[in-house]
Amino acid sequence: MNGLLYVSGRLFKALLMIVAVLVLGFLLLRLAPGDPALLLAGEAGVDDVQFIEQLRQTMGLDKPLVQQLLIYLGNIAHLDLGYSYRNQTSVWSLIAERLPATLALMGSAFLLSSVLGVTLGTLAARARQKRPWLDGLISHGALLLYAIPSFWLAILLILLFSVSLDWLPAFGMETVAQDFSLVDRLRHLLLPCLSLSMLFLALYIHLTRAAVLDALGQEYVRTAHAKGLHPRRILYVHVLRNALLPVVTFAGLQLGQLASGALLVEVVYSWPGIGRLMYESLAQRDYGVLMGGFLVISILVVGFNVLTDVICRFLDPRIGAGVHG
Amino acid sequence: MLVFRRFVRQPSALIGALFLLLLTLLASAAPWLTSGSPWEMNSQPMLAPFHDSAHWLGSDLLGRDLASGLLYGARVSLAISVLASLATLVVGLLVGAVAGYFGGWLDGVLMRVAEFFQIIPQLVLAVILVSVLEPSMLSTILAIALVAWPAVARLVRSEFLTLRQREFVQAARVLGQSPWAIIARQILPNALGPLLVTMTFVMATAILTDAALAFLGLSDPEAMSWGYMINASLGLLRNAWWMSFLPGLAIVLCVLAVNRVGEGLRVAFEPGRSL
Repeated sequence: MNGLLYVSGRLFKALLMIVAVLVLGFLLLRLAPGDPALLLAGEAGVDDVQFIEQLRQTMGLDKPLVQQLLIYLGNIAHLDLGYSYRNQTSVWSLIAERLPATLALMGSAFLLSSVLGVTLGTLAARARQKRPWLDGLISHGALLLYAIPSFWLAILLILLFSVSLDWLPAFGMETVAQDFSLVDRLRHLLLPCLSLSMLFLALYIHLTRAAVLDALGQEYVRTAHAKGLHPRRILYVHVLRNALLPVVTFAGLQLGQLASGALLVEVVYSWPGIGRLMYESLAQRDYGVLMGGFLVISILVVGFNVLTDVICRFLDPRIGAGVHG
Repeated sequence: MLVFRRFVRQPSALIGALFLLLLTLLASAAPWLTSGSPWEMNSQPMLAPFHDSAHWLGSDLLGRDLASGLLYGARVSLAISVLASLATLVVGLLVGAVAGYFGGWLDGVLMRVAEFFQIIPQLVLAVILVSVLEPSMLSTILAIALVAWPAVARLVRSEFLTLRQREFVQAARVLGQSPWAIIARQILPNALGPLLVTMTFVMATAILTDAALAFLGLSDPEAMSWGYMINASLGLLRNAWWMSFLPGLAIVLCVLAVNRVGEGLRVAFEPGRSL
């Protein structure tokens, strides 16, 4: 019952955040210099006066700001993100079409960086006493990765694996004019996924290493050793379970960064996701699509954040015990 | 002074600081060190590095000198990241001080807002802000401050929460000093160390965000910058590796240097807590 209350409270908070995203998006468009109807119609794409007047009415620009906001929220609630006159289709259908590519990129990068990061971070923490060179190598490698912009790393990987070695494709999600093949898709995914993963790999290594070192010094670990438990059992059952909590919380907080990184990586690889769509809309000044992309990505991020919070709560014996969420 | 001595005793922090100093000097001297404007098409196009002593880092598709672009780009990157860090500091300091000193419902609301800005995709928000406001140095600075302030605000708040319980702050309160005087004279000087460390983190974020925005084509069209240079090289990866490699290397070195300085400051301020 306690848990149910917590989850519904957390969902309510997520809903508030999504409304805040919507209000922020609304204000950004309205506070911008110039006519929002002109902005949404694309600065130079449509110059039909009658059409712009019509747009002004559907957006309710003649009404007070609060009423405009309510109209806007109502539209979003019906999945009406507006119409892209540049692409001659609804913003929602444009985004829905690109969503799977972005999810594949972000999901694979998240998996790779978290699994590899936790492994390497644990390795570094354990090596600290007996093999300091290994700890140093992993820690310093993570520091270097942390300073590399993902879009530049993407270019370096293309220069190495596509231009020099000619091993992997550098463009798009599949080979043009070829039937669907999983191997082909994976070959296209590999470089974008690596480029996006590295920053988060560095973060997870750093975080896991610190958390494991911290947990190793705790008294329950000493107790476990004193009880004569096998060191491997202590590591997996006692240390990692506690050390992983901050890592999971942190993963939820960093998903926004992952989405931001995906935007840049998609641009370099012409990956047909929401990021690439937004980049194209930037050049065309298609603000409806830009806003739609921002909203959909933010909703994804907030949703994932709720998920990690809930997972954490059920992982952590201390939270579950008696504290009201 | 003790802090300074502890700082210079760390080789990596010292190297980072010297690199930033050198870069600042080179960037300031850019007009005298280069053959002219970074936009000037004054050499044969797509010249590879180390082939022509007049353009020793090569040139781009339009025959613009790359060394000149890098130096002028350093001016833009450094100026934007320093100004954006200052703007972030002002916002973060105000919000954090109010939340941490006064507490209560105001603290609750401000921290929820900070959390909100930390969770949503920050670069995407910055992209939209800059594009709506029109790309310029000012809009880039505003966008960075908008997405970076929560880190500073949270730190300032937590420092304030601990410090305001301390005896010297309570003594000042008993003596009848106003809240703002206490904040400025008693609490802030004592929070200086952690604040400086966080500012290096903010500056690294500012350099990377500025580069990312310029890479997406959202930079002042008048200003040559590292991100813009990488953007311009995108179609030429197969023909001119140096066009994207060199500006990116400049970004990485700059961020690494700032990070090392930050780590050095952290150790210098809290020698006991090094992990």
